Amino acid sequence: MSLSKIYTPLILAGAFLFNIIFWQENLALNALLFDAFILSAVFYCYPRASGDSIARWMLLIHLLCLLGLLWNNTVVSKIAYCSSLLLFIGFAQYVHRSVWFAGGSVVMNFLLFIASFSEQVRNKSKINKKSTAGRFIRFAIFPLLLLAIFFLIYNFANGVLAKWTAQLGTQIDKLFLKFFDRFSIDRILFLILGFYITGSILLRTKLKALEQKEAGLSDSLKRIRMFRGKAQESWWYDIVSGVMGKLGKGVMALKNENIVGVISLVLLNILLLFVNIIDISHLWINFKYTPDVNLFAMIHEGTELLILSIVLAMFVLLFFFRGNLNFYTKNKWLKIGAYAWIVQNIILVISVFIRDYHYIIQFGLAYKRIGVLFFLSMVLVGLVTVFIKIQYKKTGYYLLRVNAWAALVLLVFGSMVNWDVYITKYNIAHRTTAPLNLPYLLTFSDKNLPVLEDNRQLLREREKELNNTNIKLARCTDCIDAILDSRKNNYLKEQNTYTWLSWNLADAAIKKQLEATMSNKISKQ
Amino acid sequence: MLSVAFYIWIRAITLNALLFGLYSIREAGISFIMVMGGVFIGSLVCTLPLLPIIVICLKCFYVLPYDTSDKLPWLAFVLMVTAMAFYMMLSLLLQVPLFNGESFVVWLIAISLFSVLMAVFWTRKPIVNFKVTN
Repeated sequence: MSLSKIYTPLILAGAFLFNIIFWQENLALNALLFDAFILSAVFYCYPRASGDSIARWMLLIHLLCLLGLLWNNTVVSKIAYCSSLLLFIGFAQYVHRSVWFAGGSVVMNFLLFIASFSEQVRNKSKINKKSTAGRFIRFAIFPLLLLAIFFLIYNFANGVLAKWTAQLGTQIDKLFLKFFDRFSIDRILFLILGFYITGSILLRTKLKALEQKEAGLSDSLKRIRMFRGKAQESWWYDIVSGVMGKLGKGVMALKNENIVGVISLVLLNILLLFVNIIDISHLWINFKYTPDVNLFAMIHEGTELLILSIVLAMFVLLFFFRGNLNFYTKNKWLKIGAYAWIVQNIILVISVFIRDYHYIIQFGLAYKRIGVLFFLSMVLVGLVTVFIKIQYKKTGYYLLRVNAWAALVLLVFGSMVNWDVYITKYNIAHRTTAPLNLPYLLTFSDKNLPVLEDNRQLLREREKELNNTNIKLARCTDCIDAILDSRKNNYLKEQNTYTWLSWNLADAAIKKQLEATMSNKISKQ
Repeated sequence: MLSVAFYIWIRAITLNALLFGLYSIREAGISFIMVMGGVFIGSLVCTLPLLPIIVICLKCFYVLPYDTSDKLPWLAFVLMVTAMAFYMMLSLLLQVPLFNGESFVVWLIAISLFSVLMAVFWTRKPIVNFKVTN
């Protein structure tokens, strides 16, 4: 069977498989089955993928995400699984090096699926060129329209016909109801969704714009001599000439820009030096937490603004090193200023890390605090890549490409940890140094139920403490037992609606433990 | 391009009014003509802001590297999604749930989607001719 002929049966098979394995199930073991189908189909339809090193790396990342999904089954692992599968498809079907472009190509797959599928079907049925169905429809439209109009007139004029029509209508209604009783409309819509998703994954578009665009991009900056007229068309030119006026124009423009850059970086470095000295003396060396320190304001306002300043700093550097200043022979001081500013920004990142650390020590772990750690890691990678960009004359494309890969690696790491369980365990273990935020722990998914169950007595005591300060977990007092029992029951009920297709290690372990505690309770009673 | 978009739009709302009028015969009797007129005027007023969206879709249509016979189903699909999104936005604005078990709402949506599909294929010639002449 030729390749073009196999797409339609593959998509249909994929749609039915999707419908069978995902309908009213949790994304877990069924993902493995779907992966087996999709990956074999992709390697069969796009043999180039097996020889492409980036596609193979992406496959490894995807398999790690699948492992994370089967191991932890958290929301992050589900997001990581789906995004890594789609990115693998992008790298397997198209020639890309960047995650951005591969992602863009997959988005185009989804947007243009109908056109791609129509082309497949048309190519397949090219043998029956003269479509008899089309001719039949054209012949039938006018007579059918006439028939409908006269039928309506007779229907109003003749009572018996009207009665029969009403009866026929009722019968048709019943027929539809019977059909939808057996095949629910939701299930049919789910089948269509499966068809669309499988089709978009398996069929690549005819669009080559993104591939061509990326093929024209390089990691290393090249010096391009641009005529003044052409240079004046760019929006950068508008900004520079708007800010610098006459100094930004003419043959001396590059020299003037270099001077402006050096002055800006010297001033910014001096300013940041003061900030860093304050941070080092107050935060790094002499910090001692006392209740009068408003740690909340220090972290939330401070962290957000500092992160914004670091990101802005990267943009400022990218602005100065966007083009010909990279090749300007007298840019030594500009480069030194830039490196100094990068180093100072790294110190600032460390200060934010320390702020977050103090906050975690005083108040325990939380998603936002972990999010700050992830974001700071990304910023750190960003600063290092900006340094490489300036030092080795790299392009903005390089910067975006490397940082996107770093973000992907972080996502994979994020999918490997069961954060709900980790945060709960950490906060319970450190309850003596950081007050246990019980209402917050109860907002987590059911994944932390066994940990809460193991520490029931401790939670009861904490609830009493909270009740004494007028903080209630629900509308009742001393209701932690009721809350936990109700959550346990709901969780077990929900798990019992799933089949083996939703199996994953985390849920299996939780289910086993909860069922054991419940049976113990019953036997004690 | 606006004229082609206008063709698609006016044909879709005409078909929608016609078909929904026919659907309402069982309930409304001879007043189905009133229903038809009401739906037509209502859609004329409410869906006017969708014209620029149809123009954008047509612009994409002419750029896509596919055969016209493959792009037409794509255009129909995109416009059907737009129509569905329009209904969802309307339900959000009016704070009325879209699928509240009222069968006439489901029928209205189904008929609208069918009308959009038919309108695109009905306007096939103006769509293709626009590409040839421009």
